[in-house]
Amino acid sequence: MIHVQIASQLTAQGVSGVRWVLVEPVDPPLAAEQAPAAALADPAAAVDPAPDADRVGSATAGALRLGALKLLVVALGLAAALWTAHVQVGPPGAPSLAPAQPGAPATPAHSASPRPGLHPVTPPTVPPAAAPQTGDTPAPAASAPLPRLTAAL
Amino acid sequence: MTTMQPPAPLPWHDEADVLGVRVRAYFFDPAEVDARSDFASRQLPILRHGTARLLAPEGQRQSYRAGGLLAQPDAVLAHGDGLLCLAYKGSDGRLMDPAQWRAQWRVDVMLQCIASAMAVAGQCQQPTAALWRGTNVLCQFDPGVAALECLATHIGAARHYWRELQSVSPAQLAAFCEPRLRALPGLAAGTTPTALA
Repeated sequence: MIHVQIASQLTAQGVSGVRWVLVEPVDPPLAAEQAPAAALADPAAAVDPAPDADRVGSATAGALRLGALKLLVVALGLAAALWTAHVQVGPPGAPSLAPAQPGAPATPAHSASPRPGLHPVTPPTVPPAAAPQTGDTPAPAASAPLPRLTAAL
Repeated sequence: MTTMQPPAPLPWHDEADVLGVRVRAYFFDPAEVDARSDFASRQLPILRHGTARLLAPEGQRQSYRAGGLLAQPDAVLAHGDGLLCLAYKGSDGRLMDPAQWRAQWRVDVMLQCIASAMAVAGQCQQPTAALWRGTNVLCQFDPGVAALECLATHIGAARHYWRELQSVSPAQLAAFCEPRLRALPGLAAGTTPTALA
């Protein structure tokens, strides 16, 4: 408790007639927060600068972590952009990106040649069922498997 | 055999009990007093020249703390074995009529001065007198037990009321405690309400 003395009388030489009262000290968490202010008011009272040093160190570590997080986000975004360009356009230096030859049809470069990953699916060659068979080749049996309509990519 | 002589009383012009606080008033001619060069003679005209000295340069306000109460009084002076906590910048410039000063009295200013003196006394651990200097009047406040306990025990509640995490100012504490003091039995009788500016 803090002892507070209020003078009740003012004289020509000083004060007299003290009235006193007790004031509750500040809560410990608040006192810790007010340590810098107390150090400013009374430098002699600042005997342990360790809390301030810890606070500064933690702030620096936090800033480093934030910077690393920003760098990671930028790197992930760049990688995603490169992967998307690789899938849709092709790798850098691919023939599809080469300048068109004179006299070549004015078609987009990306459609001039096959690209990896986008191979056109060639329709399967279906044997003409209605075509007249020549020779002694027997007609396919009714139980013969149907031609496949799908192709493996 | 020598006997201790009681200190000579200062020539106060009037006294009154206001909300549990004994108020002593000294009226002066501001034209004559404001022309003095010495700070203590100018702000404390009831004291003789050279009896009080400023703890900090004139105009430089320092912070004083007692628990959760943080004050920046206009001036703190050393006077004998005690301190004087003086407020003089909050005056609105009005002259107080010596016959009607009770009706013009502002309780909030009085409680602010006492709270500032409490902060100074708590930090410096010296008996401190609360003083207020108006345009033409110097007042000294002698708070009674009820007023002093009300201010001292409501610092934490005032801090929560004003949502101050660290400390409460004398103005906030005074505003918080004034209605509580008025509600105390026996204190509101004979006091005048706060004059409107």
